[in-house]
Amino acid sequence: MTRLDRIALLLWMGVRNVFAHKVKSLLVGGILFFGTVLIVVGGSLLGSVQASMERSVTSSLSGHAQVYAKDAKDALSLFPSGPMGSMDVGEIPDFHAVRETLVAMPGVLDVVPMGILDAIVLQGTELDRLLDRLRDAVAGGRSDEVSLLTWELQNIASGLERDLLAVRTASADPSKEDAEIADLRRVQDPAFWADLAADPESGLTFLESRVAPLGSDGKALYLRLIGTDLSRFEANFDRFRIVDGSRVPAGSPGLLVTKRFYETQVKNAVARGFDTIREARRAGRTLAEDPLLQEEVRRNVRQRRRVLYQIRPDEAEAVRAELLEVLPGASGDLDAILETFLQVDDANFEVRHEVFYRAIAPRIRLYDLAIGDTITLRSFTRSGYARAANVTLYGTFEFQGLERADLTSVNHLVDLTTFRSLYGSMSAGQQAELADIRASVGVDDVARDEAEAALFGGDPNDLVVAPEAEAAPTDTPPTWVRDVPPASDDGPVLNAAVVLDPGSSERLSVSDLQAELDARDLGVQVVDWKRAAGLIGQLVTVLQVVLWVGVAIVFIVAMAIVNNTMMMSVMERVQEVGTLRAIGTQRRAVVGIFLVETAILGLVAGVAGAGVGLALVAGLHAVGIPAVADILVLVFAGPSLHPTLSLAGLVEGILLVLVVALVSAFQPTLLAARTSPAVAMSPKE
Amino acid sequence: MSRLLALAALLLAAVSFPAAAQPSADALVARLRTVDERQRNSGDFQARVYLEQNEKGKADLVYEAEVYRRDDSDKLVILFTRPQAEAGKGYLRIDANLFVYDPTVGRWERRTERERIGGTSSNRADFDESRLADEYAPAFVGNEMLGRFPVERLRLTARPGVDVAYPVVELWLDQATGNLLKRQDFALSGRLLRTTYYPQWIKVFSPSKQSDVYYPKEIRIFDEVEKGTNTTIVFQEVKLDPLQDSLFTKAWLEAKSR
Repeated sequence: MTRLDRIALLLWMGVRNVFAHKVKSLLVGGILFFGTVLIVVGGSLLGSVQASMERSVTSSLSGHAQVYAKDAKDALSLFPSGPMGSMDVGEIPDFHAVRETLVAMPGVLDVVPMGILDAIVLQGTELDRLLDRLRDAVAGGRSDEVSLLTWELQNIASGLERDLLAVRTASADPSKEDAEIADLRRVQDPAFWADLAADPESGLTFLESRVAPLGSDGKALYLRLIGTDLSRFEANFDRFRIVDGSRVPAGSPGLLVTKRFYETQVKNAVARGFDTIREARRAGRTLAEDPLLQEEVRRNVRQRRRVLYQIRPDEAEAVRAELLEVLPGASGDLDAILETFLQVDDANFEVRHEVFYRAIAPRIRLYDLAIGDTITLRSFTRSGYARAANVTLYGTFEFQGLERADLTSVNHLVDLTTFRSLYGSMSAGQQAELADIRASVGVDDVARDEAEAALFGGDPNDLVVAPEAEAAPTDTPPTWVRDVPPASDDGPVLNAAVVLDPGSSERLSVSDLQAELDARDLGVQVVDWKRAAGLIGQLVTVLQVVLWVGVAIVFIVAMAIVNNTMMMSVMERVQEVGTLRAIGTQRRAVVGIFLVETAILGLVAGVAGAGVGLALVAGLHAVGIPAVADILVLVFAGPSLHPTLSLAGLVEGILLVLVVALVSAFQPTLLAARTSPAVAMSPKE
Repeated sequence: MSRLLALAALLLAAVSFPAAAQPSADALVARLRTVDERQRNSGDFQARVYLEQNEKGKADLVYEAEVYRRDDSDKLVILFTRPQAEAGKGYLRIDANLFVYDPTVGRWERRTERERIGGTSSNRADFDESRLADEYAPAFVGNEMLGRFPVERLRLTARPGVDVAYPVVELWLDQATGNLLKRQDFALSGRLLRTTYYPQWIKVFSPSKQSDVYYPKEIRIFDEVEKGTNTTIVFQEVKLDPLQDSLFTKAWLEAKSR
């Protein structure tokens, strides 16, 4: 019998046994089939998610790797992972050298300088804004604008007086309200404005100190800023695109905020309320049944003055007329009409939404920060000094496919010069100046625990001293420097994105980059996009672990079941095996029979499972898995995930199942091989 | 010897302020008014101020500033003069409003009583006229020693409707002079927020008041929340000469910063 004949015989017996023991075959085959489907589909999903997230993060912010100071106190996290202002990654000691070193490596396309800091935009109230404009108009002698602002301020004072009168009725001691009402009535009196024309500073001071605090609190916008070379950023991150406005001209201080932030945080509260309700209704929710939407309506009614105070006096009548077209029978002033108009329900919502955007939106400041506005960013330097910088809001941007992802919407872009002004690293000269001031005063350090003994341990008679004979304070104006930080690569850079050339044959790894930088002792560390992304990067690892733990559990269970089933099969076939052994079949041949039988089952189940898995992945690819939660938009790199499957993934799935099947069957097979021929001749019990 | 002295001081304190002699509510308010009155100058006030904050793990904040006050109309100006990068920034108090100006952006902003002046643990009240009697209702806690100083300890609670930085305050007043030596500020929850020491006072004759006026020469503020953070304020070159009316306006501060 040739070797080929023996193999053919083994195969024939394997196939015969598969069909002869249908129940066992179906059970083992079914488990292996299920496992293969799981591996193929799960592997495809995980691979697709990982690839999507890598695309999301590397092509929007991180590049393929990030470089930052080796001695950084904190790990770099491009997306927020802690409280505001808490991350300290130090500064790249010599960015110029880092860039030169990296771009000289084949396969590195560019190195984009960056820095991250948290800033605040303090927005005053509508009243504050009007008073700022009034001060400017008065200083500029623009009487027409002063007249218009007078009307607007009187209008606001009238509204605030109505509110205070209501509060006064419930107050046990209305003296405070009475004083405030008197101030508001003074603003509504034409005599006040005549006095203001004669003595602007007194009138303006009265408005700013007595009337402005009566308005609602101003809103603070918190911005996480990525300071970068904006031209280089746009050139290297292909998902970046401007949505509103324009790109920041080279060399100009400029800010770009994300479109999502602009729509959800900066838009007029009433308009945003309309948008929220519309979005919810489109998702199938109704005003009649959804208490959250009903609260949104009530909130809009309460916030109507955010609209009312912005409507110019010469347009108020036109707005009132347009609103009355959809409010037959309504009456009263614009405030009353607006209150009725904002009480929307499912029946009238679409019409009122349309009227709002047609009649009201064009006549108000729809966004608290308009494109083109100069806004003031505030921050604290690392040493604790407050810093502020004026910057023009040039527009909004988004990362294509990530429009709805909240996490990528929290980072806004600002030019490097503005970033460096706010970051405010201190030069040696500035530090020397502080030392000089301190030395000129000669204050001793006193520890908290020893303060009382140190400060009050002396003679009580020395408590009061006469003034020292000191030179009178001079009246010379203070001098100061307004350092403008450089926009070039020479200023402070906190971190940098390394962008690899996708067309290059070089496949550079983080360790390649690190080795090159270490060779020049540049004091920086390189991390891959996953580590640089912080929480988002960890999400991929978590997903991987979850999938592989799931697969491992399924296979451990499968191995136990397959092993048990095979063991029972061996027990059932002990006489058959004994007979084979009695007619001279070697133990190796018996092992072969059982392993071939298992391999056939594993192969058939694996191929069938891979086929079904492939079909499922193809279906999911065609339909797409929708990103039902905002975090999934980021994970999927878009509104839906279209998983793909490689041939390698299929083959790996089949091979893995085959290995699992053979390993599970090995022990029962050995047991069968040990069966003695005498067993075949023993009578069945 | 020092122990004997301390014992003698304690005995003296016990004799001078027996526990039974707890002051009446009116007497306590009068005590606070005295504290306020001793610092109140009916005219104007001007001083050069050194301000330093040390914070664990961070670089020190150091400023020099000019402080101008007109107590009869509740006005205050703080104009930072050094370091150069901070010069021109300033605060202006008008009535109950505190405005901050930053010449680098040319903008004013209204801030609250809790504004940390220059990012330090100090606030407006540390530079301003003392208004303890108007802002707080006092209660007597006891007589004790602070170092070598016999002191009277009072607990103050903010009067309703008054906007103060801290709702509850404890004071340690020097029994001999009535000067404030120590102050602790608490949150409503009772949590201690900061401890302030006034180890030395300057006595200046005020021509407008026709009597002596007292100013702290040095103020030491210890942040009790962020341990290791402390602020020192030193008043120098105190002058009580009349100031121009235009000084307490936004326009003056803007012009100074230009």
